[in-house]
Amino acid sequence: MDSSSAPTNHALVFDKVSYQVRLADRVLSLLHDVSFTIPSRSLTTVVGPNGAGKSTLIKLAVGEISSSSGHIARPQSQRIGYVPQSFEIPASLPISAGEFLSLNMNAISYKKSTQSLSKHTQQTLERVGFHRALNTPLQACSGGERQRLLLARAILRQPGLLILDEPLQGVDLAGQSALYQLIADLRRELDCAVLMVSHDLHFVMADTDHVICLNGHICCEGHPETVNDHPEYQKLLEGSQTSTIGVYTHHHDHHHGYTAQSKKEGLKPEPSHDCHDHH
Amino acid sequence: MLEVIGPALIAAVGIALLTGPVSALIVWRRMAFFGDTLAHAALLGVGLSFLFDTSALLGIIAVSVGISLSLWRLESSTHITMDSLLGVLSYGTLSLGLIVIYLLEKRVALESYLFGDILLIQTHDIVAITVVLAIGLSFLYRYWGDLVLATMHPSLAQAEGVAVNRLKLAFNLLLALTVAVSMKAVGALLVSALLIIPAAAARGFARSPKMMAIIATIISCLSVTMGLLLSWFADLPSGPAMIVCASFLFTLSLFTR
Repeated sequence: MDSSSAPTNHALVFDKVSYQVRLADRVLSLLHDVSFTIPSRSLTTVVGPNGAGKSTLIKLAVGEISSSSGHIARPQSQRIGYVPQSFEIPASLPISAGEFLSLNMNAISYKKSTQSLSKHTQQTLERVGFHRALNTPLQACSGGERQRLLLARAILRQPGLLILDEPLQGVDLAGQSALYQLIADLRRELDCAVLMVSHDLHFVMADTDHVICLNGHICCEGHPETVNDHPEYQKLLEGSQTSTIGVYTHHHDHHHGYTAQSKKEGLKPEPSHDCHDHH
Repeated sequence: MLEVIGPALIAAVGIALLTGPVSALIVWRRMAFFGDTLAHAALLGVGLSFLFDTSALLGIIAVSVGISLSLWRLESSTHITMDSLLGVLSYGTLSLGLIVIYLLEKRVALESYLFGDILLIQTHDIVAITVVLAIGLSFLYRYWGDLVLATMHPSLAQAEGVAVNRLKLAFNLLLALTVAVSMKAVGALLVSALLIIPAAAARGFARSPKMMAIIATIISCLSVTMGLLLSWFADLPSGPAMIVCASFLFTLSLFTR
């Protein structure tokens, strides 16, 4: 492991991090010389096309893989709340939503009924919009419901860093709006830093302090407006072949729940950026 | 009867108590082929034990632990898929083991290594089973939540502070030891059955991971006991008798859901 302790005012620090995989005939560089700092209580959004290394970045951040070079630091005592992109459970594993929620969570004791849960746990489930009976097998929950459950679990861990990997893919659009608002609220309530990863180049969460535009390396970064005007970001948008109407545009509400930044008609798709259909 | 069958029964139940919960994890993690590979490699261990004139159990433990360690190393750093790697190791070691045994000791009862013969159990085998059982159950009890979480979503488990890679190594080693001590009962060709059938039969009745492990353990114990009695009274080979009983219980489970 190359993680070491970070200063307590930083939730996550990447210092010149590179990651390569060795294939049969060549070495593939997935991340190259990535440096950034996530201050405590800040909200960072990472955007980038498919294959930009976003998932790799998260695997490195949670310590699932070790970097080929460079350093990653987190405060030793920091808990991570993580909402992965997808959550497929093998059919052979019998587990209910409640069992999963209480798995490895000392504070939660689940005994086949919602009543056995603490008020706090019930409220959290309420807030993320998980309304299924807790004895429902996880396999019977929809993708969106599983994401909501994962978010509840992440919140209940009272994390110092909340990592969200394109977390709301299975959630209906109306639900997404509410959940992003919830995440923004939680950040203040839980006093935690948020690292949000989005593969939609147009989508940057409201209140984002820092945007990192990733494509193997950091193309550009900074405050949302700065990034929006950055030529590198514009170039990625051209490659993404997305029309002017972003998915989230019509959700633009008076709370400014989203900053939907849609730009330009797609020109020639660049081979490395045109794989938006892969999920 | 009891003087002969007693030690065998103790050994068989000891093995079943271990293969029960382990089988649940094997089924969830889709590691059946992995178990098979370790079992086949165990035959190379038998061959090597003849070569170095040590006990078969020692040879088997050495080889299966070695295989387990090297697979753990290779898994993360190779471009060959796990299936292919397991296939090569599985049949490569099985064949090499058979050749070594053939060259060294032509009159050895190869059958007892392939299909097991628990009536030949010795005191040191029972000691080994007891030790592995104690280590195995303590490990499973202590790390159960981590193991289930890492099975469901390794990244999530890692993010929540589970040392996923080290846990995988520990489980692989436990599997190696489980296979090694189970060889005596069911042999290299049938060990995998004890690592799959109990959990498969338990699936329909279980509503939580722990419950599935417990039911699999009960089915596992029932299978070996029934098999042993069947082999005693009907004069059948004990290993296949145990697996036939396990398969019977599995079939029964399909109709009682």
